[in-house]
Amino acid sequence: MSSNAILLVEDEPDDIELTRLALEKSRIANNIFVAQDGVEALEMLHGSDPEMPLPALVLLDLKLPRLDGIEVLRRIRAHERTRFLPVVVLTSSREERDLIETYKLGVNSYVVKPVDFDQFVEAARHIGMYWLLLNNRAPTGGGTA
Amino acid sequence: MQPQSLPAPLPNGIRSSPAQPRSASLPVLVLESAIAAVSILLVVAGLAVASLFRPPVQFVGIAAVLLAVGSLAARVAALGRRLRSASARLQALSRSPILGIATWRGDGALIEANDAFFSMIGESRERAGLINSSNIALHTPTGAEPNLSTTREGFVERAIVTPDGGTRYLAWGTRESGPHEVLTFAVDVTDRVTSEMRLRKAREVLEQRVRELEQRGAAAGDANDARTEQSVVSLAERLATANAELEAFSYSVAHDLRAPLRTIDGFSRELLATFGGQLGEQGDQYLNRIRAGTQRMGNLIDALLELSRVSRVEVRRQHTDVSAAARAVVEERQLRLAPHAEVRIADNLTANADPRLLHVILENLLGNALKFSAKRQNPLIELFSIADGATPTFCVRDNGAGFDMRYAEKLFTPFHRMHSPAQFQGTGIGLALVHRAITRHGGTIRAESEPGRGTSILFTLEPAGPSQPAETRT
Repeated sequence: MSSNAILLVEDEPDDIELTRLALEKSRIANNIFVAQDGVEALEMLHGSDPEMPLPALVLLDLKLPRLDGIEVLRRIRAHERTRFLPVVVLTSSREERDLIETYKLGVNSYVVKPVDFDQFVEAARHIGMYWLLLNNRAPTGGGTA
Repeated sequence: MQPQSLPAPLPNGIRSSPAQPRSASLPVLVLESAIAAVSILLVVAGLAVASLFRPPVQFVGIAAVLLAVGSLAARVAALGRRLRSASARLQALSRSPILGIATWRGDGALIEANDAFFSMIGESRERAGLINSSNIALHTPTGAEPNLSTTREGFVERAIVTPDGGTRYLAWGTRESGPHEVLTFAVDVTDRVTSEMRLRKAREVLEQRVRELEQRGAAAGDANDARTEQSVVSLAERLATANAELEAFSYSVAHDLRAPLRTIDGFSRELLATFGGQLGEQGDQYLNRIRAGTQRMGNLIDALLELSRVSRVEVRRQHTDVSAAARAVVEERQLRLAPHAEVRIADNLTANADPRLLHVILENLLGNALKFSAKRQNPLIELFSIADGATPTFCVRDNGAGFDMRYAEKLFTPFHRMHSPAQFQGTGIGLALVHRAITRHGGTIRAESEPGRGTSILFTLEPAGPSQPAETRT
């Protein structure tokens, strides 16, 4: 994973493909890594190699096999290395309890995937633009200070 | 039980006994005989006097005597007839089996009585000399209290105990009939009084039963309450379970049903973008229809989820600025729906309502008003309130397409539409959402509409009736 990569945590192949398409169309994301469930995502982020660079952004689906998105987020925030890692929830629906729960856990943004693909492309473009280009990241691990 | 004697005989007066039925005919006969004897004497005397005179005078005298005697005899005969008929009436009366007649001396001893009286008091004529009014115990029996008050003028109802120990009820009338003599009339009212007593008893029993039943009913009611409470608890539990299931269901619907729609739309879009030219114009059109369909499906799912959400959320009332909320909705939607419409929102409209549900209500009602009047030249949309008692009625009125009230029965049921998609787009959920949001508040909603003239939707946000206490403000 390179430092301007995006980690997409998504189990649905169609959604993986569509998200990839949308991000490609926005011409921002160069590297898209995919984790197909929560366990895989955490392994990639908190893996044995401490030198491996973290992605610039995690796009996190909430309905995931094994470990769901909320639990993944909780562990990302609990881990020293990833506590400031930008995480955007990219999910199918706006459920109030999901919104509250993820914001409580410190999610950076919550985006509902529109059914209309054009809108989805537009959303992906905004997300990529903001988090990869505009936003200034915290130093990895947020520093030890 | 206090024995009472008959009314004491009156002290003074001429001794006379107009009601002595058994001897009533005797004086009449005596009188008649006496009158007959006097008449004969007078005739003889008249003739003797007449014989002292000479013949012409003598004849006149005789004739006068005879005339006088004749008229006297006629009058005596008439008197006798009247006396006989009065005596007959008295005799008939005394033979009456219903009316007991008795005369009493001042000391209470019975002078005379008819058969009816003896039978009433359970005595025989042979014992008449032993009967004294003070011996006939007149009392009110214990237990039942019959109507022994004065029934008619001069008549008093009394209970007596007969020699065989039975109780009879007599209505007594008392008249002074001479010095130290009292005449009484009595009617046996035992049947009436006892049936009254039975009736009274029956009524008391009935009242007692009713009281018992009421007590039992109340006890049963308590038991019912307990059962109800129990069933309310279990109902609440079941409701909570059902709600949790519903929530899980809609969560799943929200995520799982939308995902394939995105797939369909996304790849249709990609097909268009990448191979559009090769499909031909019709091919492109078909793909666009597929995309429109997925969009509609997406909207329906959203609307259904919203409906489910509105049904489930807790209603949290607070003082809400309806005017401001309405203006926010109009600002958000007017440009897209009917930019040329004139919108009049009354100032200072407030309600004690859940702001999120109020937003659903206004969003849909004002959205509808804008949508259905957009095709008019001068659309006018209004929101105002009708101060009607404690709870205000709000009205959203437009001059738009309107609809036929004959088909309005299902206006507030989900998926029921009054217009075809070609006329107006919509999911058919909007008014169902509004209806549910309003009923969650305990309010009511109704529509008044006419095709081509516009629609008014009238609603309240509080239960009708006197001041509904506000729920906890949060």
